[in-house]
Amino acid sequence: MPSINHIQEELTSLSQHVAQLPKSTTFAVPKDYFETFPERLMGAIHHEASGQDLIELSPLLKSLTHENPYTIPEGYFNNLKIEVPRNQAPVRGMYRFGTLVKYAAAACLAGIIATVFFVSKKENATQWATLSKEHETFHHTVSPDAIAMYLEEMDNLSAAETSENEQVDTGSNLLVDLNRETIKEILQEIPDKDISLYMDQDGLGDVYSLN
Amino acid sequence: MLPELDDIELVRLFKDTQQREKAFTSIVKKYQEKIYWQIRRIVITHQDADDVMQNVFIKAWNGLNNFREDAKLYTWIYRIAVNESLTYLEQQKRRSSISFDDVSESLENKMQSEKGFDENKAIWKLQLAIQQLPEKQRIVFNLRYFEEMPYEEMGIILDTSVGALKASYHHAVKKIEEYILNH
Repeated sequence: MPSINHIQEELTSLSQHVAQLPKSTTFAVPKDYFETFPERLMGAIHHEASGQDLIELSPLLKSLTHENPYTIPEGYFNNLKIEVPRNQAPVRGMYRFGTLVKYAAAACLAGIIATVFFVSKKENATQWATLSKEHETFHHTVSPDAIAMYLEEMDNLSAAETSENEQVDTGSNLLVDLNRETIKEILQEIPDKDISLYMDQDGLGDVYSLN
Repeated sequence: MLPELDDIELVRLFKDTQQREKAFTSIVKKYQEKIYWQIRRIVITHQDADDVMQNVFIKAWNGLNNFREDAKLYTWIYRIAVNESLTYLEQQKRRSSISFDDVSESLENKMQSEKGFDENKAIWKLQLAIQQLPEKQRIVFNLRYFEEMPYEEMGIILDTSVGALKASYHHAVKKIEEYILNH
């Protein structure tokens, strides 16, 4: 049993305010209550045991005999048998047709999905194999020296060369250089017969006269 | 009245029909004050405490024949007292259809009508603070603070683990401190 000091220490550690409060009794008790209580209690116990409480509560009820007015068939309790019903659960087959169909459908669906996945994976693999094979062939047919030479030539191409080529290709520059005299020279080189034929074909003879 | 006998002897004498009444009177005289104050702190008024006291000892009289001697007698009576007190409050609550808060308020009102009540006095302030606690914390606090009961014994009475009782006491003390500081 813990000492009072131990309990007080516990309380002080929890709250010094509460620990400082006085523990004296606050409630008042009638004089001689504890002296008379055992006697009153024993009186109450005797009173209850003798059935006096029922006499006081209802004298009529107490005066009635404690006989049971109900009757039962003769030998009822001797012949009483309680049959506990067996819990017979309905028997169900392990494999039912409906369940099998469901499983079969699920298996088919899973098979289709797996096949599609497998085929697409195989096609991809084939494509990759072809590409890598081409790459390998290229490496085998073109020697590393040739590749190096090609790259070197590409680096040596000057910017001027590149821009010259670009000017030749540009149609707008060609139009700017064709002046009236150049055109006359070109037209003098072409026979008149051809020019008139061209003009007749395109319907330009009436509109323009170049000479 | 029998001379000072220990609980085991008193229970043995009780089982002898010739000695029963004397043995029981000795038991009542031995524990009545402790039991009374435990009940009184729960039900507050003397009238209610007296009713519960009678019920407790009548139950003890009827059950003592089946009492196992390996248990402590006073722990057993304490347990009956706590249960009877709570049952009494429950009955009052049912009769008047009031909630827990109203029961607490009702107990506070009963306390205020007690002789010598003075809310400014620390001892009454403590009682008011105890009334604010939930039922179980109130009982745990009363048993520990006033009765200085070990947690192990309290555990038998309240059928609760020592850890849970320590936690309840801790919460109760903190709530009481808060109440006292704020009022």
